[in-house]
Amino acid sequence: MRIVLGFLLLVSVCFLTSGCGYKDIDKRFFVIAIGIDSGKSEDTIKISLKMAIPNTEPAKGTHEFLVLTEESGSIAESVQRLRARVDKELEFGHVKIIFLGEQFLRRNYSPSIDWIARSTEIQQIAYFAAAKPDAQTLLKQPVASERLPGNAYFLTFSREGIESQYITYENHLFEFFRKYTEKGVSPILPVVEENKADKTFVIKSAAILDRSKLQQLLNPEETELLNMVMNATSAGYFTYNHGENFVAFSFRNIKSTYRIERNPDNSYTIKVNLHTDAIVEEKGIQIGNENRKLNEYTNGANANVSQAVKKLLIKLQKKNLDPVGFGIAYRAMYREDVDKEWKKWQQLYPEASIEVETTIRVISKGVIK
Amino acid sequence: MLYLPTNRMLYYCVLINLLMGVGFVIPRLLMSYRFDGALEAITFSTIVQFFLLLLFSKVIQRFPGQGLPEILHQLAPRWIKNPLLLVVCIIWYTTGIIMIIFIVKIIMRFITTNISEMIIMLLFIIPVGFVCHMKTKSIIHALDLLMLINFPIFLLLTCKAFIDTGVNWISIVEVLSHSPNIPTLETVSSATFSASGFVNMLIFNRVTEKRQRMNGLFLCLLFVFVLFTQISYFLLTIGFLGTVGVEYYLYPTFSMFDSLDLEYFFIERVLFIAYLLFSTFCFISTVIYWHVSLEFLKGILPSKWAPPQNRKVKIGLHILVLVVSVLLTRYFVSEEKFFPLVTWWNHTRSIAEIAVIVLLLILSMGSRKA
Repeated sequence: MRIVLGFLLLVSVCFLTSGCGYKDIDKRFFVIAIGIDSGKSEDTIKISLKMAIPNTEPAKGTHEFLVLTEESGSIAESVQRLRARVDKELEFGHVKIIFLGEQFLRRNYSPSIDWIARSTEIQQIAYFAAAKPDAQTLLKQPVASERLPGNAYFLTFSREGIESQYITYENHLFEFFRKYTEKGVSPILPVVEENKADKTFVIKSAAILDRSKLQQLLNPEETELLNMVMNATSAGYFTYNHGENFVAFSFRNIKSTYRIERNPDNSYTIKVNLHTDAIVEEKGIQIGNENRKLNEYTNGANANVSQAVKKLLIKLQKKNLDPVGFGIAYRAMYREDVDKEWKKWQQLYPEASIEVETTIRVISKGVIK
Repeated sequence: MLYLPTNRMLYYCVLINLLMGVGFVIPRLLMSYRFDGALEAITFSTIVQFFLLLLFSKVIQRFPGQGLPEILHQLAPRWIKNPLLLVVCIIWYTTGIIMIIFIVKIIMRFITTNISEMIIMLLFIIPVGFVCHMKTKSIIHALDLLMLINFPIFLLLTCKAFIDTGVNWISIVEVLSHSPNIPTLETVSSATFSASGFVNMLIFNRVTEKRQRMNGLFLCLLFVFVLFTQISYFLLTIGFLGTVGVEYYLYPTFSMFDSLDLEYFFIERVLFIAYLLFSTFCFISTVIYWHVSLEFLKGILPSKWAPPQNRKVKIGLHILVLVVSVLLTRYFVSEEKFFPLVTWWNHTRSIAEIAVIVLLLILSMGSRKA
């Protein structure tokens, strides 16, 4: 009797679960990428969803996907409207990349962050990136080399595939949200540009934002240097003119540290130290015409890199941007009330002096002298 | 000399509360006090709890094979015994309910957003309601097995969180730079939960077969582990979510797990592993608390009513627990009502634990004289 009762209970519980919102995997659309752009008028947002269409038999070279776009005042409303245009349940649990269009970033992007952070389905390990010219074009453009829709971007940002010094890594959703809310650091996003001719994309610059707008678009050289200072890349590349010809280095094992020091006259100095090993990759000369010692290159590289980094940091300081996070470093070093130290930092950052010290060891000139 | 029956059981009870503490109970409240003495609250309450643990083991070794109801029956007058048992019974029951609400909310937030909360509740309440009627020994075996399988996974996730590149160590230093501070009562009482598992020995002491010597070294290791786990989860959560951002999250530990990814594992999102892990831990934790609560209740009921003999009372209890649990869970399922409940429950629970141990100490000293 008891066994029968128990069995009946179990069966009834099973019935409960079947009718309670669980939808089978073939009745779901897996959204893999979200693009957010500014709409036609000032206060509308355009949202594009890229959805993979699963194939039962994956044929060679096919990767089908669907990009749907909707525009309205809020993201939530657009998503609801998109629901009306598909036959399957939208599933956001597999979103791995979120693009914010450049125009949208230049307007005011913060409302979109609220929806993304509030959403229960979107995973915190999704990647964030700025899109140029806009997110919709990027989503619609299939990448020639990818075998699954969107896979090229996942490989790029997860460091599993290419690892490039132009890409500002650590752009996960949780990292972006952390920087977005944190006192003392500016959010930074890698910029993905469309490359229609080759059916690929280009990532060579970074966008520095404040809490509402895009403030500064860096050029590739600046992006590279900043990534080195932020420890966001492990390899780098640098060229300078040594005498009449140029020398190109590639950097290995980059490690940068920074600290904020108080001077006797109550002014502050931001000290950045950059350590790296360098290898001479190319000298712009005829072979055999010149044979300089490694030491000369070391001095030259140190002088040039530290100058370039300093120039970049001062440029960012003038715009009151702090992608490296000197502000948190200051807050961590000095013990005071949270609001007080934050106010103090805001006053002293524009006036702080910046010192950059680099210890670049040129360890090799490659196979030939 | 310290003696405590079934040592292993004690460690399990402490560890399972530690997990529930770092997963559910502690983070949200302590995060809002991260600049105002949360770390100190963790350290202070852990030390206090281990002091209580030592005191408790001193007391309980005088009553081998006996639970709280029997001890009170021998030593205390009826007018102390019955109200006290009723109060602890209700507190233990509430602990179980709170665990269930936590896991229901986690499932609703992160896993199945469109299933009604009622069904998730029932899926927990019905099995727990049945299992807590089992014999104490069977529950111990279940706990044994579960810890053996799941605890290494928990350790693995902790290690992964430590070596992940997503941790911002400067945020952690920033929070550390604000200590020391005097902790508030609220934070201390909620932090006591993590190390308070030993109080379940008030019932599990019954299954003593022989006196076992309590190993001082293992106790020290346990203390270090409990303190280390709590502090590291507190700081790692801040490292992942930021010193300001962490306050926006309702379930910081789970958002922290969501920020981890296992690139080369067949499940990339750590959240799902963590959710499975914590739902099983939550299940067994609720079973323990409700079982202990039930045994306290049995201590009040006259012996002819006691459930194993009287089937009507047993069925009545089943239905009562089911209905009351569902009603309570349903009422407290919104965060606005739930979090104040957790705060009040933490206050009452920590005071009740201390009161019971002190009372036992007084009673045992009185009995020694007589």
